[in-house]
Amino acid sequence: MIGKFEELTLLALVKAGPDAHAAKVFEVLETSLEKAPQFAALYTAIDRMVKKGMVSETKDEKDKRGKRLFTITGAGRKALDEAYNATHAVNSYGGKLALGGSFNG
Amino acid sequence: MDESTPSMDKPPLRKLNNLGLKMLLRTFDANGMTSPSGRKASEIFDLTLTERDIAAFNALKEEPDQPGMVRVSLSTGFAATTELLQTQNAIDRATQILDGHTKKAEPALPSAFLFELLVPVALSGDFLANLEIVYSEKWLTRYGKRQANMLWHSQCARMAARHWVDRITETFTAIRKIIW
Repeated sequence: MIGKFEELTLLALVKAGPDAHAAKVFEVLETSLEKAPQFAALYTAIDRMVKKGMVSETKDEKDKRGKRLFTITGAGRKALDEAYNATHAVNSYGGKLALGGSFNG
Repeated sequence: MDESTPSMDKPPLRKLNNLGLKMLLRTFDANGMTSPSGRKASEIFDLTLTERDIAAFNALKEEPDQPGMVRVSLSTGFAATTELLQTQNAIDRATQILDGHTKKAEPALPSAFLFELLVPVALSGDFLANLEIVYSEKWLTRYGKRQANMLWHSQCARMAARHWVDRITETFTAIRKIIW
């Protein structure tokens, strides 16, 4: 199971499209969230997910410095779906509580 | 002869500024220019327009006409553009003008010397390349130089710290697997 921040990063990566560099993903998160995340935190999260195989990376041939371009992989999409479904399940439970449902179901 | 007097032997791009040139070449490129001068122009100049460029261009439109000044707009025609770029030495002169403007316009980036010492090159190079984009396109315009510099240094410090915490955690995990 991935963490909330990783979930948000994967969602931003989906929104940014394939072959997105870290600055583009940061821009997506910044425009979508009320409080922008730390750039270093985002970069570390992407780097970790590359190591886990949730995100694939290629080098930008056009860029002199060979920027890393990131794309979400199948494993990343699966992890994102699981996290999204889990959030939904918890949200619906919270909804019941708010409407007067008992804690024991 | 007075410097401000327009002259026929001087290329009309003489007084075209960096921004106007970018606009001109963008139109040039959009028209599917395939001539050698067009290709050369495309290679020389970065045709990407930022929001700041467009804002500055709109401000430029308010400037009063000056002798020898070339006005360009997004609707500059293909023929007019070709004519301008075929003017003798126009590309070379424009390159010089653009180089001068670019050097002036480029914000001096804060130092990242210590960060580069602390983090492997493979990671620091890409991180700094991306941080440069965020710094110049977002923080500098939004917060000003002082706060943007503080953000730059804080992000570099956080990145270095996170990198080494990750390495230590990985090492401890590996050791724990061996022992237990």
